[in-house]
Amino acid sequence: MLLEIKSLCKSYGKDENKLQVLKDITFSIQKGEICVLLGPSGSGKSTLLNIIGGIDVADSGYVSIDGDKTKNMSEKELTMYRRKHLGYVFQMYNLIPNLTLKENIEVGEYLSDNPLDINELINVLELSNHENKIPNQLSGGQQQRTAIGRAIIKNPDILLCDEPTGALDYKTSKAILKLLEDVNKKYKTTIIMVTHNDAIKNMADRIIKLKDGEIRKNYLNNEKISAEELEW
Amino acid sequence: MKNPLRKRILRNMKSEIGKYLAIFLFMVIFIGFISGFIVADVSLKESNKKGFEKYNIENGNFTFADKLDKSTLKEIEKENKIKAYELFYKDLKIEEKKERELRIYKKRHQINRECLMQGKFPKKRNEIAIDRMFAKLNNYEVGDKIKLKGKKYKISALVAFSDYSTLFKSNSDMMFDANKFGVAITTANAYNEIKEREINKYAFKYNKKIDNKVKDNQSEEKKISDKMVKRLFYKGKLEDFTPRYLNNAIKFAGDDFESDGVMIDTLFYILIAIIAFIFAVTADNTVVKEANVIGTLRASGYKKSEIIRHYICSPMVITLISAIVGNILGYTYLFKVCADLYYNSYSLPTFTPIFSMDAFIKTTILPLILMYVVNYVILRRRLTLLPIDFIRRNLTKNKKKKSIRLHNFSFMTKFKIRVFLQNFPNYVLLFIGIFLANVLLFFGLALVPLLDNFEKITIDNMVCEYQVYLTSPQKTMTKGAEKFYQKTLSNLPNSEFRQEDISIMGVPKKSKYFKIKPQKGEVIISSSIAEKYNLSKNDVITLKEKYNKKKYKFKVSRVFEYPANETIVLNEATFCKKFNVKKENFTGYLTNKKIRDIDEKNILTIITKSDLTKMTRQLKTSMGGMYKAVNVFAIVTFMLIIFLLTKLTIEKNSNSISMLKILGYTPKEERKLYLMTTRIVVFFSVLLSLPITYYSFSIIYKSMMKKMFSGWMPLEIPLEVYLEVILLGMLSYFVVEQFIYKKIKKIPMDLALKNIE
Repeated sequence: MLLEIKSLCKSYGKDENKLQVLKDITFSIQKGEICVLLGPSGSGKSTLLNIIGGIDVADSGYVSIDGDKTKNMSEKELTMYRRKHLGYVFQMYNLIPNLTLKENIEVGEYLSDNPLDINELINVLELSNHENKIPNQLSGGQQQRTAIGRAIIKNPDILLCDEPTGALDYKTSKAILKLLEDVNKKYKTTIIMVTHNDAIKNMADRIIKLKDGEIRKNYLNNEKISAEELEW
Repeated sequence: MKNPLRKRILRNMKSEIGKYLAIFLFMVIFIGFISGFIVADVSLKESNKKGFEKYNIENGNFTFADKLDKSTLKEIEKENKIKAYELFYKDLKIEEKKERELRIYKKRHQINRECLMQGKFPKKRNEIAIDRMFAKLNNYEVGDKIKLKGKKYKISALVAFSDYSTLFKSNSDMMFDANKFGVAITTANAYNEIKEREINKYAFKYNKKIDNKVKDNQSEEKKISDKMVKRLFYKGKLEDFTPRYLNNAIKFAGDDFESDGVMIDTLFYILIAIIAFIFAVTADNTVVKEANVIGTLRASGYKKSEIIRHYICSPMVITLISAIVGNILGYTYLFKVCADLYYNSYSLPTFTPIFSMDAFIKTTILPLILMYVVNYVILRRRLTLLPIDFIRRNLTKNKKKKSIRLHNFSFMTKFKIRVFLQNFPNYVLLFIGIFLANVLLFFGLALVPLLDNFEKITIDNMVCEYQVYLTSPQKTMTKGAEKFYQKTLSNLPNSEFRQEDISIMGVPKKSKYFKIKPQKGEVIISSSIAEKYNLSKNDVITLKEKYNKKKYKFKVSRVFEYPANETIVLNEATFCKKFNVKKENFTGYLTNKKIRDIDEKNILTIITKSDLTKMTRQLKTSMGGMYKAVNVFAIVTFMLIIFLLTKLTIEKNSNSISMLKILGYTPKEERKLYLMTTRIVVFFSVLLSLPITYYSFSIIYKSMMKKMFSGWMPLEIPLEVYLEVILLGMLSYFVVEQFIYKKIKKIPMDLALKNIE
């Protein structure tokens, strides 16, 4: 078992404005799995991902990776946890505007003691012709691929993707999902992906459905198909 | 692997060129002037100190009515362990210029040597070298002709006299007037040809070296000189004796370097506060602008220290470059500008700039440390937020605030109120920034009106037209002349107050001039003392003899309006008793009519209206340039602060502005919505910060006056200064608004679409 989430609760606001966004969330993910967190807007899936990623904190419960509970970690240890084990892909890419595509990926490479080969990765990402362009010279799909490159170059154990195709068209979305699938296969990276797109669940090993901050379903997908076969 | 973020440093600076250029220019001006001023001050002090050796400046001088014969002079030298030098002179009126007088000496070779500033020392009988300061003020140049006692002389050189760095004609003059009095040298032959009464002045040097640097030794010097004057008294008709430590012509400029150091230090600390504030604002500005990047980096696993290092780099580089450029300017050019402030007042010899550790610390080390600490604290504090807060741009800790209901307003007014409320913390910063800039502006704008006011109230409160000091008691038949007694004491100097003279006057109970009717035992202090030492009825002030330890206590009975001088008035009987003075040994006369029946030789000095206002006139001339520089600097600071803070507000709202553009709002409408609010805030900030500015300025001013000046100038700022501050503030804002408006125009429409997370 790689990742264990136990009795996780999270709320925002105080008193009458208090909003419970996660209620007693418990599940676990095995190494190398693709896990899809599925749910409508406001179901708490992004908050859950952020807590797993150590960029937000839970009110109670814990996240444990290989037995190490993040809530027991100091801030420095938490940073090191993110640095060594996690890669992050955001819906809005969040590339650094005045760095080139390659330099943006180097931002991730710098953090790892055992990074992947950057030129090979850029090839895998099919971005070789654009490596000296800055983000605003790239299309949305190219930007997202760059963001994935930045996340996976450090060879993380877990790749966290928050709506990675949320801002992309159908064709580009499928290409990005294919890329994530390839990364999973090639580097055995565990992927946790947040989406509200029901069709994407079909490429996952594990599907966790959330609604109103609760897990409604958590099951292994026995009818997994490749990303290329996805339709929506 | 090197951190790839370092590649951003130069690019960030390029993309924020306006901001960094503004800070760079501000820092360069600040560092350049402070460094230039300190270098000039330190170098002049050093040159002044070394000048005593270099030009062999006298330890004192004495004047006899008649020339001493050789044997008497030998006796004097032996008895007093001194070496005496003839330093005879003749005072001549300049024929082509009214009321201008030159004191002519022979070229000196042994004592009080001159420093050649321009041209060549006189070699021919018709050549003369005149003091540079006097020449400048009277528009004389090398090669010009000057007519003295019917003879024309060609000015062969401009020189600085080591014993006349400040052009006091007489040591008893309250203030010098370099316009009317100057010094000159001719060849010995030319001097001998001048048919004019010769004054038999002798300069002397002690055979034993006396260290005149340490204060305690001054009393040693006094002891020696006191004994000497008694001995000299028996050697002939002694007309004057002035030891160096009391010689204003030699000492005054050096003392002024010290007091100006206090003023520049005060300005420096105000500026440091402003710089710290600007640094803090820019650091915060960076965090706001880079929130997404910071969030992403933190989420990726970048340590706080790595992020702080990254964001601290650009401001540190800018500060370092500014310090280098500023110091280069300071050491190569601006020190001359600052030294000219002194050269405009004093006749100083040439000097070479020397490295000043004080300047280096203040202009380089301190700004670098300050920049580092301020940025570190701001970034560190901001980085306590969660990475997700940065990504979501939730940069305030109080996230859920209830919005205020605004029903009864038009849409535009409601919008502006919302802009104001949303940006309230920024506007608080704007207020603080405007307040700091106003303090600086006050410095530049208020000091000349303060001097004018001082001049006016000095004249308004003058007790009489002439205050005649006698060498010994003399009778006069002048109508209305009233005897007075006077003694000069010193305050007890400490870290708050510099040493200064306080005059104790003894006047009749029914004095015609001091209409305060001093009763027996009463101590009536002038308003200047009351304000400076914060004294009122029943308080006690302790004063001491200037050069020994004897102390006197005065319990205040009353305060009277007298701003011109720091004076304590006693009843004449009380005065005589307190200082053990016989009734017949009065000091002089107060009178509104000129005394004509006392020989000039028996008059030590006469203080007139012109003497009392000389100080303010001289200060205005010598410091005028500096106030103008402070004004320009204050306005630049003002504009920079407003620019940075308004830019911050616009950047924070750039998403909304972009969205308004998409909705069809024109830049002019956006200007109304965002900049009109800022305009109103600036106006009210300028207005409302004035009382605090006045209060802060008064604290700084009073502390500066206590350390810097002998005497007291009351702090009364005319209404015009306040109006000028408001006007300049608003004008500066309108200039800045044009730049900001351009920024609003440049905000792209797709910005709102990109940042919708």
